[in-house]
Amino acid sequence: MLIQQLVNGVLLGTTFALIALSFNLVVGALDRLNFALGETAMVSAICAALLVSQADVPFVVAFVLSLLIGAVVAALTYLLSFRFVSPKYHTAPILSSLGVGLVITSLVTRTFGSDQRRVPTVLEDVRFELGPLVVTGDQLIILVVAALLTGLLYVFLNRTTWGTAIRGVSDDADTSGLLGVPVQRVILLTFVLSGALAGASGLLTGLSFHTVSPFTGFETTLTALMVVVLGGLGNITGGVIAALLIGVVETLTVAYVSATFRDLLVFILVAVTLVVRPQGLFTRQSGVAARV
Amino acid sequence: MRRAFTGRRAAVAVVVPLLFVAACGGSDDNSSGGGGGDQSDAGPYKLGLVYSSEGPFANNSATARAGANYAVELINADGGVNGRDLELVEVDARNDPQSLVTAIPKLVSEDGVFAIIAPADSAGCEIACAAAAQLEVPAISPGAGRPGVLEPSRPWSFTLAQPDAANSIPVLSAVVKQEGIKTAAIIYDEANATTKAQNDLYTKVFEDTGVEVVSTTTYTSGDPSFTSQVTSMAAETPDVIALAAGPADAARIAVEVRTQNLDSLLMGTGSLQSGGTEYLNGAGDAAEGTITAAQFNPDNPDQPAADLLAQAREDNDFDVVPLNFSYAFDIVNMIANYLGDNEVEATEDSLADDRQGLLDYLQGETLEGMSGDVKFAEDGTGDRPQLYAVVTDGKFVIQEVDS
Repeated sequence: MLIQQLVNGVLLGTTFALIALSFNLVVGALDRLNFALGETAMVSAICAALLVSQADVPFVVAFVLSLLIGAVVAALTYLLSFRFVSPKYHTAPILSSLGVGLVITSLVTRTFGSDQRRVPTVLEDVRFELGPLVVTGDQLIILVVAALLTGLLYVFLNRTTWGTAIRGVSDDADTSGLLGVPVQRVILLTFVLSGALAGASGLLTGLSFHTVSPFTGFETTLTALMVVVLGGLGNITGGVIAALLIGVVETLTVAYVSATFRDLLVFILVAVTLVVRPQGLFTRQSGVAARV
Repeated sequence: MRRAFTGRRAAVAVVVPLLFVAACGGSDDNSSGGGGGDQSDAGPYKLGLVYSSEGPFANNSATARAGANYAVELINADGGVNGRDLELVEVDARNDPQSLVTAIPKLVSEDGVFAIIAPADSAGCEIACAAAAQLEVPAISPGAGRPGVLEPSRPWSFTLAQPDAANSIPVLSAVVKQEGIKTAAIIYDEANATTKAQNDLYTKVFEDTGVEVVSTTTYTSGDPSFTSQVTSMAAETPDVIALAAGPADAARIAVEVRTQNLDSLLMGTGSLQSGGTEYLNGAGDAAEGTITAAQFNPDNPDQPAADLLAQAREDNDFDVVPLNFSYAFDIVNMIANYLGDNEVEATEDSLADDRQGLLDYLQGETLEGMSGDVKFAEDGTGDRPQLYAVVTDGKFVIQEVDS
């Protein structure tokens, strides 16, 4: 059972990793936290779940739509909470994006109701049994899609002009601007990418948990925040590893201790990390944490 | 006295001939059945309605709220009570104990409500009813079923539900024997008083029937993922998985159980049937075969319940009338009937006596309504039939317990 629980933990961590990647992209670009990303993931997942379960839209199409919805919502969040706020006021975007998140939740509950929505199984009756280990078809989809998105993001950031521009703005926006990089467009692109990842994360998490609820937005944000703090602000590899670690810790705590202690142990893990290694387990570059 | 409290104001055309059926003892000094004197200048009768839009039993709360509003709508459309409208003063406690504690005094002192329709969930009811009792205001819950939930607030509180223990223990014990169950797993939220009580209930059922509990696992209400818990239970391959959970959580557990290819029987207490719609919608096919204790028959063939249920289905576009809906509907009608029969004025001077009169009325009568017959026991809980329900083709199908 331990091996199965470890696999369950890794799969849970995979869903955390995508939303943490999404968080880290924004931190990298703006040195700011977008507290509406959890709700962005939620609204994308709710819309996609409704399309799949009520309009019989194929999962692949709903998945693409979840990326688009996430991208649009994140772009709107950027315009509402970040674009026109002076960099002098560090807390303003935090409060403003929190507010956007509340508005999104309110709009979703008023439009679609407050019930959780079922995400139908994609590959029914598909199971892979390797001795004591069982992986369902849906779990495999989650793993493959998450790995694919992470890989594509890596390639985009490291092998394309726009990716290089994002990394440049992330390292030093002023110098990038002086070198002719369209900084505002790059930041908008970063938010769009971040929203698309959040949308994907929302639907894949719904697939993993079988349901999506309009009230999970802030909880998702909180989890992502713990992941990025543990992995190191702005560090994409660190974020992935921290997400998997938190997923495994949560799963093993539920299986062998008690569900009541699940969040407590994760909070302790994050708190101890902050005391012993304030920059997180990994650091992308010196000074990022300080700048945030 | 057996009293049908529904027809005069609700479902008038359908039910009027069925009103005020056989008397069966008790005083009968207030059975005029008329609408009472015209007090239309006195303003509406106000009733408090406390619900929670959040928490594990939010859906039960929502259906109860809908039932109360439906009753008020029908009564007011039929001319109100004593020429006065009924008005619900609603408070959303959002599953927050502090909100409950502050909401009740406000309802009583600022809004001047005559009585309170308490939260449908036991945890909320316990707090709200205790606060109402301190102010000597009657509070009636359309669903609280945890044993002892009314103890701190008697004699001012009632619940239309029979406690889970009184109803579910004998019913589930019979089901366990009937199904030949040998091993069981229990899943519950140890931080939630209601699901903890359900865990105790299951433990008692399995002890009494000689069933071995092979796995006990916990969750936190609202947990999105139950993969870890179900993996732990699956390792023991229990004959039955006992769900100590609100309907939304139970639905996610059911889906995960079937996803992991576990064919254990799923079992719930009466509260799972009461939140049945959310469970069925959330779990889909995974809910098929689930067995729960039941105390409410949404297809009750007896009058006046049958006609009231039919009208509620038509008016509210229900496939099945939810338990909390019918209980809340009945509560409003009970109070309305008391107000009408006694021509209660509920003025500042008479309020204390009027509220005491409501207590006596509730404690003394066998009342008939949408939810069937109910007589309140000495501890304020409803005395209900012992039934069980099996999810078949996406619906709870009510059956009689064999023994």
